[in-house]
Amino acid sequence: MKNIITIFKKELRDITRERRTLMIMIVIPLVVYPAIFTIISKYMASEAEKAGEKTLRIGIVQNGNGNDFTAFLQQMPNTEIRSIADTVTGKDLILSDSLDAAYFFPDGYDAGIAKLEQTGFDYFYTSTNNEFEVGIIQNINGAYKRSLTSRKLTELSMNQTILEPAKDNARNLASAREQLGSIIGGIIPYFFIIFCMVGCMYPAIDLAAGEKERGSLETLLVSSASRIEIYIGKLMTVALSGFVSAMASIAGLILAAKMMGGDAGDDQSLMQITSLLNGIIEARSILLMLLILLPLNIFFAAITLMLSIYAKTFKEAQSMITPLMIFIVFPSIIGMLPGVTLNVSTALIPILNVSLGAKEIISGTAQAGPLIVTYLALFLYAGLALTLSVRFFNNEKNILRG
Amino acid sequence: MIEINNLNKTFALSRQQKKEMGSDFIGNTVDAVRDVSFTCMPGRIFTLLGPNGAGKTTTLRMIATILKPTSGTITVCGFDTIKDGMEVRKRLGFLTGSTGLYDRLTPDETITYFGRLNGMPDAVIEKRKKELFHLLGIDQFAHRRVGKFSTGMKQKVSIARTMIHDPEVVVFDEPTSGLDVIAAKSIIELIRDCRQKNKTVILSTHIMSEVNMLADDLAIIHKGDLIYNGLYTDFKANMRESTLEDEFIRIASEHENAIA
Repeated sequence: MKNIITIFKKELRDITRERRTLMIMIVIPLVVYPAIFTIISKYMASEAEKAGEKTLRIGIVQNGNGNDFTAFLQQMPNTEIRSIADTVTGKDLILSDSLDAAYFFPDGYDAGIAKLEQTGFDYFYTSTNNEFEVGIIQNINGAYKRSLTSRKLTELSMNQTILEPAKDNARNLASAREQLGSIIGGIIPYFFIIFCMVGCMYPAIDLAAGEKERGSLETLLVSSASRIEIYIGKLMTVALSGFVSAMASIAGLILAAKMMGGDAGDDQSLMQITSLLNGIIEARSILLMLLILLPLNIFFAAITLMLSIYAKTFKEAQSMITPLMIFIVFPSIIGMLPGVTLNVSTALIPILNVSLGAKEIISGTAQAGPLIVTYLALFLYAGLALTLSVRFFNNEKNILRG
Repeated sequence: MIEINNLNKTFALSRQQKKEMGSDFIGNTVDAVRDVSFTCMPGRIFTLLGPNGAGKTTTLRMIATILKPTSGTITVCGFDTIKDGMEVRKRLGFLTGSTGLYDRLTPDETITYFGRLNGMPDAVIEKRKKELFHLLGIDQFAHRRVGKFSTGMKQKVSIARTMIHDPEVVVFDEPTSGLDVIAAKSIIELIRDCRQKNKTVILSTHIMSEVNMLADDLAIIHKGDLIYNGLYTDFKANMRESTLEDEFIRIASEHENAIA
């Protein structure tokens, strides 16, 4: 045990003296969440602000029709009505971004409206426009049609309620945290998983393949420390590094929550995100996440160390370990998809179970059964990876390959 | 003392290694060391001479417990390398040409690390470190990180690391390879010093001048076989060629013809 501690302390001192490792292990995970959420909130706020301030430029084909709509439109705020010659001109102006929408009303439109007949009109826009603008155009059309209906009902002396004899009052029981958690909750474990892996990767390469390349491994093997003590000392360092990375990303998340909380003001979506982040930083959620992170880190540390021991050089270890990211990123992305949930089957698939488990913990919807299966599966995989990795380290062929 | 009896080491070859052996090679294994026996005595320098790939490093690695023999036995200070590996390692120092140091640690930290790994109490480490640092002239740079040191400075730290636990047996595996004359000289002095202190020294080399300077006992290893084992003075007295190089080449050729 004494030797394990000695090795662990030395390795820790060694890796923390390298700036690149510290950057990857602590600085990047710490700033990534505040950066992402700041960018999202700033983007959302600026888009909403732009759309709110912007005057919508609407063209109406001058053919003597559609006076009813023009009169309606004149009452709408932030709209500018322009007369256009025909639909071709209208389309060109939209495509050259000189107009936001163009309306064409056929002959007899106004007369049809007056006679309470069903009529129709065409409108042109481009869906590549800012989605807020598209939304406003659709809102204008909806409001216009409702005003027509209301007028018709009044003229027919009918009650407005005839169109909606029964009102359905929807009451969503999902909390803001649950609703938002299912949408963006998947992004958070995605980064946890990536940071765990990246946090393990560089120390693992340095501690095994790097040691081989420097020629110091042989001297270490000749010391009184047993091979298993050397292995455990190194594994503890690698796993701790992955753990610190993940913890740094949690700290970043807390930081993001605090920053967003201050900025939210009256903005509904920002308040929702803040409530989600505040939910995650509850002691229970953090504890459940840590329980996932522990076996995940041992699993990653054992695998990266195993490959690094086998590699002859630092470079070879890098080229062997880097492709592993695909096997980590892919299930993490599947876990982000809406509709994919944690059940007894998905709880058995490594990485995917972490992604889904963490997502449900974040959303506050985690069920005890699948979560327990997730923990058991993770500890089992960590144990298997550890056993395999120890066997690799004990094999003189691997350790002296080069 | 080191006693080696009927030592064999066979390596299984990978497909790539088999390809590299050429089309004439048949089989899946290669014998790196074949039926080697010798004894290294305290207070004497046992020199293992052989060309690259002869089996010198494999033999030394088996003595140092890094590799396990396929068959045969090795005892170091009376301890079996397989059954009592840790006891063997406690009594053994190992030095190679590659300094193998940690760039981000200082000499002080490096030596303390290896002292602790060899089971030494901190007070003893401090005392021994002070002696070695003074002797090797490490004091001036003991608290600077190794990364920017010259090869000579690194070699001194490497020597201190090998000797920190005052081992009874010291294994030198081509210790001067890649070193300049001054750094190599400090290694030669260390080897002589070990003999003077009655330590068991085994030195592997392919440099004839080192053999001439240091050897008390000589073993020549070629293609895994021990082709000479005896006193260096006897070897010199019975040389058929005028120089050590020529005599070595003659013996190696004879062995080559015998196994062909």
